[in-house]
Amino acid sequence: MSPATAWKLLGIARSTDTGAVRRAYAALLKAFDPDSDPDAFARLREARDAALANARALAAKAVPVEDLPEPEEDEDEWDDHDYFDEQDGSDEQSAPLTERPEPWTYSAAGLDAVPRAEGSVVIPLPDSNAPMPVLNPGFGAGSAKDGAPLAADPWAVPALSPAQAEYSEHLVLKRTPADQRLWGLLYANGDDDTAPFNAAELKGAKHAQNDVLADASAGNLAMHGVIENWLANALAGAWPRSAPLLEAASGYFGWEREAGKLSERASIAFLNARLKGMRFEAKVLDPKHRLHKAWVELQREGSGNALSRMRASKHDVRTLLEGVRKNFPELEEHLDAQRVAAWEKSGGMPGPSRNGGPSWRWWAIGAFVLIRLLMAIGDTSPSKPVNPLDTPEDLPVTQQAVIAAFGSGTIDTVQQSNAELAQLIKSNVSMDRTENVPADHIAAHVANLIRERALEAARSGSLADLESAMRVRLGLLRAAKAKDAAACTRFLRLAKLDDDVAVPKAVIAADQKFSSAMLLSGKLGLPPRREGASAMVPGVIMGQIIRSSGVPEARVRQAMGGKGSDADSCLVRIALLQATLAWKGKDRWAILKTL
Amino acid sequence: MLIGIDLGTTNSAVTVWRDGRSELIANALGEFLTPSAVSIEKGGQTYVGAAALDRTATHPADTATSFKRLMGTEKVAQLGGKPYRAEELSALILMSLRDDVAAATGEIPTEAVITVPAYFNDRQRKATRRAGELAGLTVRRLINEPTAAALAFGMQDRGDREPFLVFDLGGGTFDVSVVEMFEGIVEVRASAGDNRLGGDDFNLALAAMMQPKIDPDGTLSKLPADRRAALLTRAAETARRALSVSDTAEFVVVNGEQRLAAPVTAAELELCCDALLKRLRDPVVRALRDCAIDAETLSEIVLVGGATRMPIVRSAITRMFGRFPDSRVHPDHAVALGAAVQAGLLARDAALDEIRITDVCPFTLGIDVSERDRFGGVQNGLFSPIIDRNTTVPVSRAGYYHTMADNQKVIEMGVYQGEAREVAGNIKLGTLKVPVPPRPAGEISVEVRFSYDSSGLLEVDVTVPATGLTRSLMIIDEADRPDEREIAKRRAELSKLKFHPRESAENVALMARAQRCYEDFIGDERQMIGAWITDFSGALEKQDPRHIADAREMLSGNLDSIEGHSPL
Repeated sequence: MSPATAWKLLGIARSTDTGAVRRAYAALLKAFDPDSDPDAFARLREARDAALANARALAAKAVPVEDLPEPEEDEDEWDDHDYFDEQDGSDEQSAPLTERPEPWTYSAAGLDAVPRAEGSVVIPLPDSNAPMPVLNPGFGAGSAKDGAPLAADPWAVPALSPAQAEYSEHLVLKRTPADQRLWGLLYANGDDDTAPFNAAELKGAKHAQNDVLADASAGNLAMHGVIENWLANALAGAWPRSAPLLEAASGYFGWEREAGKLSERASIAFLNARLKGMRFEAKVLDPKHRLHKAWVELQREGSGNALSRMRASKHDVRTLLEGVRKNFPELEEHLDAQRVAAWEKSGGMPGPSRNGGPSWRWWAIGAFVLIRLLMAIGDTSPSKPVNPLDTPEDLPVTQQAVIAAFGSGTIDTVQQSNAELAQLIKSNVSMDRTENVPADHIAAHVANLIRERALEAARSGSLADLESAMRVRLGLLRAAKAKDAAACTRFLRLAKLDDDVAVPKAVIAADQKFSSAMLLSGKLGLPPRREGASAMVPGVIMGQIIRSSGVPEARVRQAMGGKGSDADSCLVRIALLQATLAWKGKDRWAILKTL
Repeated sequence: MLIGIDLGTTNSAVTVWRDGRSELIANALGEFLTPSAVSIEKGGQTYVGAAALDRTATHPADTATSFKRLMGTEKVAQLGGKPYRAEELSALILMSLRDDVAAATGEIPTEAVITVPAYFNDRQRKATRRAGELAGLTVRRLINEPTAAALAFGMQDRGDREPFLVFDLGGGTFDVSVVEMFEGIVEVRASAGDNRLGGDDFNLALAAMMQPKIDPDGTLSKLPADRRAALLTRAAETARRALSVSDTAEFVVVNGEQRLAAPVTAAELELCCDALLKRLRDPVVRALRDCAIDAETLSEIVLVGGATRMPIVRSAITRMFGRFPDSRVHPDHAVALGAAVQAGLLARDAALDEIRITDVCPFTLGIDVSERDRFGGVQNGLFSPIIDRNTTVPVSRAGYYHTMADNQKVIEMGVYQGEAREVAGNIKLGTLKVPVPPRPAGEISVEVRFSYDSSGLLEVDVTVPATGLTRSLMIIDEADRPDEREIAKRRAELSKLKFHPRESAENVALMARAQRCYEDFIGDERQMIGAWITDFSGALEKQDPRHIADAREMLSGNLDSIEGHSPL
């Protein structure tokens, strides 16, 4: 209903006075019986709501309601391949949705974060959570006074005896350090730390989480809600490290009661899905489970041979694989990719590549799909135990490593530009040497570290730097692919280029030149904390990927979701990188950052 | 005459709108609350209210309580060897309340406003309405309990009020409503609830904790289940009430000559009810979220329902909202008083000319649909909402659906209520079939219109534009819609039951109480109570009203002193 109609129906002049709207509504409501004319009642309600919204908008000197864009987009619009050329001005649709939850003290800002599985495909939905307010600390102090009228009630049992009135003390918010402790443990090594807790950390984290839950239980509704959302986001963001904490948190807040509800919150939906996966894994690990043999079989390393695959029935493997892919896609990471691929090749398997043919809907999704490609897991910070000794015997190896990484210079020139980096190189060399790693492997290892750091720096640096980094990356990916798909995937996932990958000289030179340039311009500092990156991939690029990689669209989608086979992931990534580098669209930078 | 009835899990009450105000009507014992208990002997002799409640101890196999929790289900309670459905037992309560009004006003009521928990589903509401029909009352309106309480609260001064929250924890159900008042309009903004949470659940938790403590040898487990349950529940109820006024209480079960007892503290009660207390949060959060109101901006927290007397519940509420709740309405009377206000509104009483009320539908209603996924597969059993929860009622909304298969001849849909994405997680209210002309898939579309009225009852219309065919039904399953003959038959069954004449009600109730006390005590006290009962029986046989009155007063005084509670 337009505001003009609404004001007319209410019979009052347009104004900012919400009280007038309600008085007019009340007067009209009293004039008829809603039960005998539900339609008229519906119109009256609508008029009231529209007029109230309009009055508030006028009061806020905002746009009048009729000028606001219609909230709902026609889905057919997404069919239009040129959509992305026309979308200027609708920034919010292409802005990355992922935001990290704020670290400290149950800040409400984390509410908007939409945590998602590594590499999952998520279609952005409007956030249904009304943000909870951050509380005014100390509000509880004044409340005790309000208890006075209770005594006047002749029927009420005096519920707040002096002893119980002490509850009001709990109402004053205490800023506990529990959340900071928990956060520190969950994100001990930055975002990408997927390593499980060690025993001491686990104990500490459980303890900290118990304290957080105690805060929630002592807090009022708003506080409880803020803590619940904060914890859900913190746990989801730190998955899978947070796995051992999930049961307790979910049990406390009753998250599973929300499972499958239309109103299920995004982060809680994510955690509920993980919880189901954990339960399934626990069950399937029991030798009595029907699919146990199939599970064990798919976990064995390598592709095995036909004989070794006799150990599990084809039917069970198929059931397991179908079930895992449908219900717990994240568990596929616990299976051996080669073994799974071998089973798929041996026939009869519902490989991800065979999931139906092209469908028109793909374009609707392709244009709107939000991807978050696998992020490098490799850790570039010197978190490993550092051996401070750099003995003279290390020097030649160190020199070799510096050359491998930068193409020229010595450890001293590195030292002059970036002392911290020089220390990192030295300690890695020294550490590798104590483990008797051959010199050329050490050099490759260091080169990997430097390359990864240069890439990280480029991600948060200028567009030009990022483009250079991505060209190098494209070359390296192609080289890795030339060896085999698994090497390519390893490079993508672990940022580690296999030693036996034959990299063309030109690519090596470009790599060294880029690293060197970054070093000399002082950009190779400790990499900043990586934001959870995500970007929209427009339909035009999707089309190019499908054409240039030759991979059917359904499989492209799987690959982008991190669920494709090694070969597909590799092909798709290369095609995406290539297409994006050649493209001039406005989201180019955002996409490159995720690659 | 139109009356207001609060048909509660534990207690019921009846009100009338008279002289511009709600008025509670006392029962034959002079009390405003009639326990929702029914006891039927083999011969058909029937006890309702306090007498029946006392008979849970002496005649557990003939007595039913808390049957409101069975409303809308097929479950029956066996009384005196015969099965009774919850709505039939409720009808007996309604009849008793109707007679109380007739005795007080000299006019037999024919119409009623009956309150139901806001979170009662369509089946439960329809069962309640049938209970009214069985009792010979036309149910003009079903009104949500928290809404009724809000009306009673609002009528205190009729002034404008910022949104306030009604927290209604009764014997068997829990409701939360956010209500606002302006210009005489009482507007429910949102409701949420849990129709399986109430004082009874606290009793069960307490009994479960105390049973091993009082009975380490397991003697109670040798008793028949209904007797054991009756003993433990009653002990829990007594202890829980005692813990509302003091920090410690004794949990006592007397079984024959054996007295089993152990002390219980408020802290222990809180500990064993922790899970229940946590369940109070969910509906509160949901209701506030649905109407986008912050807990802090609520002007008041209004407590309704007997279970809100429990200090552990009150401190949970205080913690939740960071402030003390309001206790200005009587937790047991507010709902009934509000029902009379609604009755006055329906009767267009002049004193209520300026008052209107709007309520909401607290749950989502829709149908099941199938969808094709992008791989060409079909997913069945998905829920397609038509009326979203917390939409103001009355409301009428339509959804549009089309055929899935080529030459499909019939569209069949299930009507569901609930919040789950898959209909399997929701409550099925009924099924509807519409014939459609055979055409290629997707060419035939139908309009499904849901109309939800002020009583919370749903009507569904399906229109096929291609044929102009309209099919309409009130959502009632075969089991839910007994024909007129069936209702008449059941009414006749109920009318065969024998009731004590109204003037002897006090004697009957007192005798039931004395017999219950006899069971509750052992040793000398038991013998003494036995002697009193003999005396009272003798007095009753003489049929001299004055003599009986004296004997009654004496016995009742004796029982009061031995049970240690004052007549007030």
